[in-house]
Amino acid sequence: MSFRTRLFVAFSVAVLIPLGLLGFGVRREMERRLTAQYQRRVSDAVQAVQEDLAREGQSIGGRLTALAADLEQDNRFRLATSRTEATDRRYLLDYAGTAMRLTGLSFLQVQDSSGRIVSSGHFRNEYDRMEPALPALLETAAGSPVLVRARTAEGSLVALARLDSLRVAGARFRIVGGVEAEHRLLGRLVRDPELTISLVYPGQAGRNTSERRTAVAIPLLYLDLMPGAASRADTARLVLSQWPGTLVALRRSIDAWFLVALAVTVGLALLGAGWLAARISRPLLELSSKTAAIDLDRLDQDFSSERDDEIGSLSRLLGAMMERLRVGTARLREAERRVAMGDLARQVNHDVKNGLVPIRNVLRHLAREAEQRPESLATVFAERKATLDSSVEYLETLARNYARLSPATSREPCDVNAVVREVVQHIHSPAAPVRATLDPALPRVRSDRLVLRRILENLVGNALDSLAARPEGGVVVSTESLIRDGAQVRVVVADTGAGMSRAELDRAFEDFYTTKEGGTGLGLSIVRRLVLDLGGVLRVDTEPGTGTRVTIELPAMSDGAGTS
Amino acid sequence: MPQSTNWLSGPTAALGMMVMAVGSYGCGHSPPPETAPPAPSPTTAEPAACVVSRGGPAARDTVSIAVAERVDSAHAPIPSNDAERLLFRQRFDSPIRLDCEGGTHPGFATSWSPDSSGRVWTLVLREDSSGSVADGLTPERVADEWRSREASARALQWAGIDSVVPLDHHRLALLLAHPQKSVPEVLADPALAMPAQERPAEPPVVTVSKSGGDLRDALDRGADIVQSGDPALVEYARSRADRETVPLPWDKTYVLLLPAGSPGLDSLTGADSAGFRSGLARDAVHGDARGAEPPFWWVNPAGCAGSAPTNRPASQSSGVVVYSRDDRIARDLADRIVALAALPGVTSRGLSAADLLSSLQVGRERGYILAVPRRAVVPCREMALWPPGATVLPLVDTRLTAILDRDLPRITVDWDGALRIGSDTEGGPQ
Repeated sequence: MSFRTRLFVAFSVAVLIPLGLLGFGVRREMERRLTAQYQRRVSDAVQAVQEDLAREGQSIGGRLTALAADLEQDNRFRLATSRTEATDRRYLLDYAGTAMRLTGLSFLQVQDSSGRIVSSGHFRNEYDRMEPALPALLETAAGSPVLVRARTAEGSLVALARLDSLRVAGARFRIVGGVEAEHRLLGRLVRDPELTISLVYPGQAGRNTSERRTAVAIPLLYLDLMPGAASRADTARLVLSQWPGTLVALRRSIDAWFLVALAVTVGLALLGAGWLAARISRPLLELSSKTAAIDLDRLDQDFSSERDDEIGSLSRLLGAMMERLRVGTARLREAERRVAMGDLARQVNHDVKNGLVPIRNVLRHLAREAEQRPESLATVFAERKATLDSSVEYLETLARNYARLSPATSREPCDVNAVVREVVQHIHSPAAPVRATLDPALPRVRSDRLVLRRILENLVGNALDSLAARPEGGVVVSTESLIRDGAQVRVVVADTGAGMSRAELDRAFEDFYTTKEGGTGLGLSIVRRLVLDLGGVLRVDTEPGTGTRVTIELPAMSDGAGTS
Repeated sequence: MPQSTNWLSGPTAALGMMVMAVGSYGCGHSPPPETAPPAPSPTTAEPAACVVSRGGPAARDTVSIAVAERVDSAHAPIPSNDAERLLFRQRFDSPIRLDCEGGTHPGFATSWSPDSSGRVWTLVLREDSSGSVADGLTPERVADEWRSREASARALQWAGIDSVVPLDHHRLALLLAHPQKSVPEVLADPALAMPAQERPAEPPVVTVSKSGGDLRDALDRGADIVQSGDPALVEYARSRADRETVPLPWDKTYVLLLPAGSPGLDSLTGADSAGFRSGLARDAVHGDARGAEPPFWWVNPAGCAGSAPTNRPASQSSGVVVYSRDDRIARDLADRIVALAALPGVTSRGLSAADLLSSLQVGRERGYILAVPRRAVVPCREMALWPPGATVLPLVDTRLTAILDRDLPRITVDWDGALRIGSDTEGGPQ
């Protein structure tokens, strides 16, 4: 898992867990308080419903009592119960319907003592049917209303019913009346808009209550008079349900805001994590890249950093390590040079000896001849002169060869500014100007003046070459002193030429790599070697189309050595 | 339907009382015909049972009729209810008339005669005073009208009349599929009626009352003719000295139709007994009713086999006994049937006339309470509306009561119970 991913995960966990806990807590507390509020309202509603039921029962009972009293005085009813004439019979059959409408009831039956329906208001033509179970149950209910599912021609009617009785012409009649329960009555019972009351009774067709929550159920005596029903007492329930609209709406609102907050927070966390990861990982990647580029021939990586955090410390540590490597490498090269010098000395010794041996032999021969036969000395010398000539020629050749093998360098206090001026004056470029910006307080460096001149000539020459296609450009050679791990002298050769690509820069210090027609490909390679030999650092900043800036930093001499 | 709506204020003109002024036809103000019909037929008078008013001594220019049912002139001449039947009968003439006992009388055909085979019947159309066919009612026009009107064509088809051929300017020949000894009764069917414009009356004026449909208000305002089956209205009319109440012939039979495939109503014990029917008529029905009495025209009707449209037998039956929701008697009967059946899930439901007809064609209900005419001149056409193979249980016969002003012109009753004001009795078979 990458450092960036770890940061993302860590940020997400650190943000989501507290946020989730907050949302959960808010929802739970809100639900608890609203539920308690609902329960109080439900309790009030239950009490109101029970009072309404009692009141409704009394109202029904009052109307039945009035009907019973009226029937006892109704002569046509009296005649109809004792005669069989068609007009009387029709009056009897129609009586309950008329009375039901006049009294505002929705259910009315008049039964004789055997339970035979003699007149029915809600179902006029069910006359003569036996239905004794209804008055029997109502009598046992002791004045309380009973829920009755009565039959009608079109289906059924659920009514809250009560019973009364009367006596006409010596016969006892029972009168059962009620009001329709499911719609007319229930709609009046609860006035709280978030509470509803519904009737649940055995054999009821399923109803959709999925959005409602049952609060409380009030039991009621129930009798099903439908065909096929058992016609025995059962229990129905008045169910008070709450519609948790406010709660649901509040919960949805909280959920919506929580999701918004979650999305915003996650977004910010991701952005923060990304920014942090970039701030941390990008310098690390750069350090990694620089570190990977280090080898003994390229100990010029710049690990300098202005950061004051761990990345800066690490960078400075790597810079110090780099410096130690540079010093060590210089020492190693010096040791190698010394070893090479010893070998060379031995070789020279051997070669010189080889060249001197014939000369010594000729000299010994001439000395012996001069001693023994002086008259022949000239002859012998003439004979051996060729040997001498060849030996001398050999030694001269040897000397030339060794002289070519390595230029002799000397380390002495050197004024960099003077060398820069000399190079700028020496190079006359009609195409582009070469300017020098010099630090007058520049300390001297310990170097061979010729080496320093070769370095600057190479760099300025390259800069002028890069301006070939840009006549408006220029070259600036600047010097400055700086303090970094001791006194340093910085020399910068900057041009506004073609610049180099990354690939070109990577190969610029290789031997025999050149992009110039007729170039040897040795210039920058020699420059870097010379700079490293001087214990310095070379750094190149370049960009295609913008130009190249070559920076050389050389260790300055101690204060006692003076300034230029 | 030319000129069939000129006496109504619109396509649908009544939900309440309508007052229609009808010419005092045959009451002294109309001029007698100057010339006699070319082939006069013997005059046949309606039997006394079919005369509900013999005509008062005073002449009447207008007769007002009050109805409480919806009247739609677009239905003319075929009525869809009792009110339309009463009104349409005054404005449309069929070729012949059948009185309440089945006697034939001239309509817009003054005489009729068969050929020797009994398959070709020739009608002689009424002529006016100039000796021309009355008001352009030519045989060609009648034949064209019958061919173009779907109801007419179907009536002729169901009655076995293969073709109608105009013979000359006043004779029309009917070619029957089977020979008949008597004139085809389908000629009295409203489906073959034509506008009765030859009557010398002013066009009647129809106004809609504001009574809200209570015919007692119409009586109070002086309506001359009201017909109703409402016992309360009849009782109110009997209490008024200026009105006489005349029970009309039994004109409808209510039946319980059980489609093939219906489980039926087996718990209805004795449903086909006379006692059961009379019990229904006495207790269950609000109206003048009796237990249905035979003969029933749907029992073994002649010539219907194979002619009725074939309907798909009902595969599943509901538990509902349906009826026309505008018919109180049908509802009473359906309710009583449901109460007596006492079967779980069996209920009753009222349907609109159109829905009832559609439901009847499908035949998927448990049962149908239908009001069918007591007498049918085209039985096969009536039975074609029923699902095939249905069982028909007659329940009750009903009739209306005519509430009449005591000073009215002659009024008779047709075969279907419709009142006809000022009937013309001249003409008949040659």
